[in-house]
Amino acid sequence: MNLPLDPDFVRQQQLAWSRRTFLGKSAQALGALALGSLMNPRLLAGGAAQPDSRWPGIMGSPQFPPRAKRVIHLYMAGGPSHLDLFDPKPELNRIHGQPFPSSFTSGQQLAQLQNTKLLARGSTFGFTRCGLSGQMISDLLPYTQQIADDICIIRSMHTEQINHDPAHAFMNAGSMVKGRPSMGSWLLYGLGAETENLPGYVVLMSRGPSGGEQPVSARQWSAGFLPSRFQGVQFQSTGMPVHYVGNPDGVCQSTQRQVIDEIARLNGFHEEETLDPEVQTRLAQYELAFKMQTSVPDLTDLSEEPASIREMYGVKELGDGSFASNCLVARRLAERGVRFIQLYHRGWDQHSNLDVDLKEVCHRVDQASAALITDLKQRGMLEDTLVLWGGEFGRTPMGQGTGRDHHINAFSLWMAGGGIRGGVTWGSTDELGYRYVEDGQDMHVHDLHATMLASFGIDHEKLIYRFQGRDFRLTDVHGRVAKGLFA
Amino acid sequence: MRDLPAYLGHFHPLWVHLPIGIFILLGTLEVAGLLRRIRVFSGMPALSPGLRTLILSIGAGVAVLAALLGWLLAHSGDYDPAVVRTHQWLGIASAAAALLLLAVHRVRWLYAPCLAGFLVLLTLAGHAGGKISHGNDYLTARMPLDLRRAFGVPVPVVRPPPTDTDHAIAYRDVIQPVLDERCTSCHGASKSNGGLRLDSWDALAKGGKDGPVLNLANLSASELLRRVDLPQEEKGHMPPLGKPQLADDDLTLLEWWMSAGASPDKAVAVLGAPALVGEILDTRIGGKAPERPPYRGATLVHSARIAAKLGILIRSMSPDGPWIDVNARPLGKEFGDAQLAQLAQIAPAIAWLDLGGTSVTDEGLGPVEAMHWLQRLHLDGTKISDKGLERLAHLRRIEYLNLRGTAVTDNGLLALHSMSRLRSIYVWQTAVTPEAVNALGEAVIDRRRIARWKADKEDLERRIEEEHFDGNTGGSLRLDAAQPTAAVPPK
Repeated sequence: MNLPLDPDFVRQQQLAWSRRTFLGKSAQALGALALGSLMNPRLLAGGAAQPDSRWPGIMGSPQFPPRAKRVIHLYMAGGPSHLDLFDPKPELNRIHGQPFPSSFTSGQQLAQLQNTKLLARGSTFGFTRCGLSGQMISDLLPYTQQIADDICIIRSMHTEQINHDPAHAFMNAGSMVKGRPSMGSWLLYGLGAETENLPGYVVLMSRGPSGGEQPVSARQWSAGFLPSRFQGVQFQSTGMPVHYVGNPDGVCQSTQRQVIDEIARLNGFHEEETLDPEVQTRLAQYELAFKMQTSVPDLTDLSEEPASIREMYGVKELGDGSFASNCLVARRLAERGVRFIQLYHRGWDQHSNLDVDLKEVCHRVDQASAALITDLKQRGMLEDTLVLWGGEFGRTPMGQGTGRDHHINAFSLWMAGGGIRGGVTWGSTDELGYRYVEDGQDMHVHDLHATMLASFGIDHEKLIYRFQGRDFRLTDVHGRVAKGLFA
Repeated sequence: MRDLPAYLGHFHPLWVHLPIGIFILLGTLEVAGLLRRIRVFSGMPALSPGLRTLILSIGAGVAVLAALLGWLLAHSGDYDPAVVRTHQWLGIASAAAALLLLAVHRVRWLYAPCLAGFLVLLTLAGHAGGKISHGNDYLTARMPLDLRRAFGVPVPVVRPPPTDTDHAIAYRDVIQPVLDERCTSCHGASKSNGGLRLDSWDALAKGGKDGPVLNLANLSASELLRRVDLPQEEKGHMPPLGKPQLADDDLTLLEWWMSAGASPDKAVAVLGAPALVGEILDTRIGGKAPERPPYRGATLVHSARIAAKLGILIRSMSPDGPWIDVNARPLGKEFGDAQLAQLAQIAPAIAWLDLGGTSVTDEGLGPVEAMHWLQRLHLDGTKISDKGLERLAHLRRIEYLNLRGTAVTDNGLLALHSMSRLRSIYVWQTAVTPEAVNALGEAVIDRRRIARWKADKEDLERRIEEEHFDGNTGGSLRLDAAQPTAAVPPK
């Protein structure tokens, strides 16, 4: 994966661009040069020996009015059932147990239900109109019902991949092909992070009830062909998030600093010889690790969180690996300037025993999800934090024994903050919840990515990386910004 | 064809410049001919008698036509006959004089003085016409004071411009200018439709021939307000459809002034202005003209230097504007008043400022005071108190203010009542009460304007409803012979 790139590819591009503009109009060029140096302080400094670990992002000025500054992605891995959570279908309940109309399914790709007799399966759970907006939310999510006016439920999601791993890849990177950067990596590449003391892209994992758990591979937060300094860093959900972050006995911080400076100097020679950008990544990692020696203990010191906050999230024991604990850590990461925070919660793959297992997994995430929104809101952070809640696909309106199979033609997720209008239900599905309706509010994963980037002020068609002779984007050649979602 | 005279009459202002040009050119050529007698000008061309006759003939012809068109315009009903009388007779005299000139131009001794006199007459007629179109004092309105004194032009009574909003006299400094701008062209000295003049307080208080326009007993029921608030297409709406309308801000000011008692001489501070009115007053009175946005190039140069020096994050916020987003939060307590002071140079360009968790204090807020374009301000977790908020009260563009976990109280929020664009405030973990927050909301949201928008919306919806078209090419009730002639159609 680490193909030799042009040594300082980005830096050179900035230089070339500044020079060209400078010849055009001196006043404008001065601004452009300044912008260039805003993005890369070394541009004007003339290459200082000390490597600057801060990546300023390549995007410069935003193309749209920026709203969001960070993302918290509550990733419900496994495929939550939209039909039981956010998309009530009375018609499906009515034909429960009857053969599913073949006009919907003929010629369609199914996962495990292929070549079986298809029976409609209604939802056994009630829905309630919530808040002033009257959004319909399942009674399985009583806490989420209370934040109905803050969230925008998207019912018209659809994807292209029907099995977990490729579907995760599609949701993260907009492609099932290996080696593509995930959206967190794209954001870091485009904007950099606000903090130098923590990774800009952090991943935390929590588990569902036993059963219904599919593994999530580390490639989901890979930087793909982007320099690997932009990849997600998985923190441990239990105990210390990062192992071996303390100093060994007898080594103090100043000694540590000297060691790292010396290593950086030696690595600098190596970089001059080989022109390998991964040396830069290595330097940045040393620097980051050094800073994390103080920032990580501070991050996990949850003792400063009052009991009322812990109660609101439903945290039983700090750092116990629960989704609730992870949500609290996510908020603390967001406060510290981490750009992209992804909390995977495994256990949404209810092929069977749905009525019991779905209830259990909802119970595990509902309170903390709503608490995160409430907490961000009272801190004034929801306005510039984009929260995404959802999985990689939905579940079939056809029953699979006591559960539902994977479904790609329709699923629901919700977004909140980052300039997204709360209390809005966006898009719809047909009367059986089988397929999204093409009404201009339909939302492909590419559209979701384009919309997410737009909330950062980025035109998804402008965030480009050239690799192996081709220009790549998160949205490839697709993507449509759902402008109506923004307030 | 009834409109034909008026239609032709409207060509008068265009056509009238033609004879003026022709005769001035003729005069110039004649002077050139005279100058030939002096040696240095001997190369000047002379006007041949034939050419002179031709020019005079064309000139007299177009002059007569201009006078004719002028006559049609004067009687088209668009002008008050009293106002145009002088110009009318001067114009007709000019046309007659042009014919006379044509008749006598072969008599050498008579021609020169006649031409000179005619040009004077023409100038006077033209000037009288200009006064109708542009106003009596058009030429001298902008005359510098020194020139006025030198030429004996009366020096106008200049009212001292109010230095600040609080001391401005509401009627004199904002209300009358609105009336002057939009109303007095029809309700003024030269034209007073309905017997109503709105060019002075006395006239305003007196009303028109149909009664008073100010109902001093119940100001909100005043005819003046009713007329301007009527839907545009309603009969009686003022200004009439097609004329420049009162702006939203004009209406807000007018309503505020009326509700405050329609006083002719009270100062703004005495009347008390809510946030939105205060903002409009500031821009109108000019004491605090909207601050000019800074330059992008210079801002980015300074930003780069400051960001590198302080280790803070500065981001450009738009592809072409100078606005920047400054984030000092990552520095935490290391960022204090001394560091904040270094932002002074880029202060006017800062749109978003995050000072959350830093060690800035009330005393160090000086640079923030100069951030006139600030929209978002994070002060959460700082030592800012009510005193600091008072220093920020004039930042009227702020939309988002985060004060979580600070020492601010209800008193501090009172200072924010002037932030008319404030839409979110965060005061969790402070001593601020919900009542104070609600009061702030009431102060910054202008309910009356919302009510007006609602009325406008209803009006628009009604108009959308009304925009339908029924095409009817005839119908028939003929029953088909095959169908049973049942009184009730079968279901």
